[in-house]
Amino acid sequence: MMRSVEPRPQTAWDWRAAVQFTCGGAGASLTVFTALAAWQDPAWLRRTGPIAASLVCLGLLAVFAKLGRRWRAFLVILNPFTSWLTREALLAPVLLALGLGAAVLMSRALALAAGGVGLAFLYAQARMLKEARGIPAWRTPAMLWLIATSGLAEGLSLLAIGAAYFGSPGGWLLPALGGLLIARLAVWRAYRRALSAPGAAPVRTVAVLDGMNAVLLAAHAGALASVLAGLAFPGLGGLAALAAGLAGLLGGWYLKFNLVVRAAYTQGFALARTPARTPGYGGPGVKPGWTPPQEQER
Amino acid sequence: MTRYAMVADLRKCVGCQTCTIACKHANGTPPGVQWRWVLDVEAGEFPDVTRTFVPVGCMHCSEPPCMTVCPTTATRQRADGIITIDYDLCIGCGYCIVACPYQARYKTTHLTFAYGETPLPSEQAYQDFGRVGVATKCTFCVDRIDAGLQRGLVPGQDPDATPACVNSCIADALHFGDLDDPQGNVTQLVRAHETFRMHDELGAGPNIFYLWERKSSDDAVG
Repeated sequence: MMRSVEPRPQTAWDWRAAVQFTCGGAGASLTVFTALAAWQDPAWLRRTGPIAASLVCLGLLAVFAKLGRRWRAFLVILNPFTSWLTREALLAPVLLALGLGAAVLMSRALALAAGGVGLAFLYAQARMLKEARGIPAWRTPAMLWLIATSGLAEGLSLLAIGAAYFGSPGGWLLPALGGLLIARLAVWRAYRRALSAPGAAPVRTVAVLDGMNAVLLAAHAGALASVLAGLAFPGLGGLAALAAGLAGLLGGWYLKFNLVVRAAYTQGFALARTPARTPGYGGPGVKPGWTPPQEQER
Repeated sequence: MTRYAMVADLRKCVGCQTCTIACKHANGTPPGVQWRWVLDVEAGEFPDVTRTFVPVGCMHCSEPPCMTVCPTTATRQRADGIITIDYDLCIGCGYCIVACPYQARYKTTHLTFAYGETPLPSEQAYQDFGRVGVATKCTFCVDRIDAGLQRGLVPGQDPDATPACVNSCIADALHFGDLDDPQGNVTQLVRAHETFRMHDELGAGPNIFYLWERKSSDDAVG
């Protein structure tokens, strides 16, 4: 059997890994914004706190489902020295305990601590992808910012959806959501630009990213229009928060799912030089599936 | 110190896949799992085209990305540089698979056989449920090396202490040995030839060296 020389889609991490990043990231971020909302009204601890914990649990369950040896899952804690997967796994129970403890005890201090751990959890997720050196779409430094800003935007989007039902936690909600959505869009553009540079990513990865762009622009446009409508017409507050929240959340989940499942092509294989054969000399190198710099620059 | 490395002479490899089969025979890997591959790389445009056969597999990197990401410490680096996987510790999370820039790692979810559900006698002999659901890859035939060393043999020189793929190579394209031994076979080959390491720019420090041309000023070893 011959093997493809060009980069091919990775198959080791499937939709279950994507659920870990979508649900886990949004849940961890929601603990941050639950703590902020609860600073003014502690009732938020019991409104969105359990939802955040449930999402983190769902993400962990999805990871558990993709393990080859599920009943050894506890061994995941053995390498906190270098593995961001271990670090994420160690942060998860702390996050859940603090988040649920805050909800049960109605403790703002515990909620703030949970928010801090939630930020660390989100960072660990971003580093996990960044350290996967076999996937060009993940290992780029912009990936850190993309996962971080998207996670934060998803968490605040969830709070906005909650605000449509429970009432706004404060005047900061829509402006903050708008700011995070703009930040995510800016990071997405920077990320795409970085990977579209000559020799930065496989051709197919760039094609997938190009295909995602229209959907992401539409989601952000819809969310930002809803934010502006909510700010301009306070009477529309609940409806605008719901629309902005849904568009912001689904846009983020679309982004992460596609980054993990569709854009993640492997490195492929390359030769720095082709060999000298008798008679003859060595030739230039070849990197199938990657656009040569001069071709992209034309 | 000892640092085991492999040399693949791209001028000599004819793409016969004997090393692939030798690896499958020696390690009993299931269908679809090939710890040693030979790529068929075409380059150039007609009429100026080349075809190169490139043996690939685990590069036993000096700075292995698979090891640092492993959450269970199942992937380790021995003092001689060989990267190993402890199948009893691995949880099959697949993180090492996406961390490897050389697509050298595999995970199978169940036992499979070449012809349906019934294993051949040879497959029955090799059946190992311990390798199901965990990451696997080329070991440089570490058991063979260790057994050979215990008998006083020299890896890379004595076939009984040398990886199966190297022993089987019909074109003398694959070589194995200690890169820290100044008089060793692989050291001499690397010194006498123009070489490259695949994806060297990623910083993993792969330990398969590809020879592509003899150095014009040095006729020491061929």
